[in-house]
Amino acid sequence: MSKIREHITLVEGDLDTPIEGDLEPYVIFTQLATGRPYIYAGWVDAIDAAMAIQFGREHYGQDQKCVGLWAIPKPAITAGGAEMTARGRYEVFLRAESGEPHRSAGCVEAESSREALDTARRDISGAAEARSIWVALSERIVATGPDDVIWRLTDQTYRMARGYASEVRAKWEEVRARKDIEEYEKDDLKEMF
Amino acid sequence: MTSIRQDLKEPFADLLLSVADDKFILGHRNSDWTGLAPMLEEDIAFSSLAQDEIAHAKALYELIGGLLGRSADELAFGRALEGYRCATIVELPDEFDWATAICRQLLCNRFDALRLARLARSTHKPLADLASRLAAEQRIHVEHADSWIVRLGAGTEDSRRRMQRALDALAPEAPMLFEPVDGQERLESAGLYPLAATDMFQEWSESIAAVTGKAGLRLTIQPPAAQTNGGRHGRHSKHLAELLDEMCEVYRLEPNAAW
Repeated sequence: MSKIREHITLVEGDLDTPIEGDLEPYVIFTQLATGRPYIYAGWVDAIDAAMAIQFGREHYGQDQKCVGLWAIPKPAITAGGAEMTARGRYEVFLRAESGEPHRSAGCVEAESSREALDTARRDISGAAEARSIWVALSERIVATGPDDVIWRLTDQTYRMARGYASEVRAKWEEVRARKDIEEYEKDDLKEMF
Repeated sequence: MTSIRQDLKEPFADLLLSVADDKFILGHRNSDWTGLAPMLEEDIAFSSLAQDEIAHAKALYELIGGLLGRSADELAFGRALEGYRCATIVELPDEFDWATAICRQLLCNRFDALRLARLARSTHKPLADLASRLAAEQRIHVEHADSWIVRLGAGTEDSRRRMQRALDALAPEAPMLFEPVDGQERLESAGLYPLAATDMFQEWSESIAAVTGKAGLRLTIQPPAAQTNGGRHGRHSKHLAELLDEMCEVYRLEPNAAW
């Protein structure tokens, strides 16, 4: 951080209308390889769907290789509580085991979210045994395109904890190779890695 | 082609340094926003984009280092002020004014996208390959700036006024991004920095105007003067001198230290 941050005199104060007034929650799903399911990653607060995708990409698309993102407005996803009476195609997400994230498992056509859940339990493989089912109207899903870059093409392993750990490990190994190792190996090193 | 004609080496290195230095200094400026951006989600996104710029600069410094027989660290931290080739617009402190930070992103990122598209067609294969990768990532930055410009420009009267003020302050500085390095024409005719089909300044200013128009902002932008002697020739603002003094402080203590 630069010293410039030590004395910040703002040119202007806060906006008249706080930015938070416009924010809506969006649930983000990531796809790790083409053709694979979209997996629940978390959610972001965003001003609109385009920004939800941008935030989702930076928050959830940089932990591992990721080729696709979905952003769905949170109120558009239901697990059976409030019923949505919209007719159309619903995307079905299943949580197979407790602790597992929800994964996209296919689509059903239905008159309402309740019917979509019933149809999913009957027609989607694994749904009957799933711990939890979510459905969302497909038209509410905002998705990245096939040419969009999410996972960076330039080497950015240093951004990740494991990238940093592997650099530190390489340096430790250099130290060990230089033979001043015994004490380190017994105590610190084993604990740390 | 991977070898560079002897007489083109210096202009080629200068050109690539101008690309790398723009990214390096802008990335450094933007990284100062970490923890301070207007909302949490944006804080993470903006920090991530700043890291991208520095990663891009690193990749370019490695390429230039290979040509000049110098290390990336040495190029990034070991040059004197007049050895840097960045444009003044990336050097300016944004005073932690979000409108300024975002307007600068619009002007610089759209320029960078066009420049990378030209470099991606370079006859120097390693550069063309690298530039295509960087160009694909650059699109993320362009989209990000566009979203904010439109959102804040077309937001409230208050947000529009702030955006207009920031744009008016930066617009006169931006055309110096186009200042050519010495020998640029020779690089163009040799295909190392191929000319785009259309006028690059016009393409850039029209693409900026399309976004500011959508945002309801006024834009007045003039082409750069025919003769310029600015950042691409090593003439910099005092802000860059201050930035480098601080950024290079540790490196200068022991330039040959192994990290």
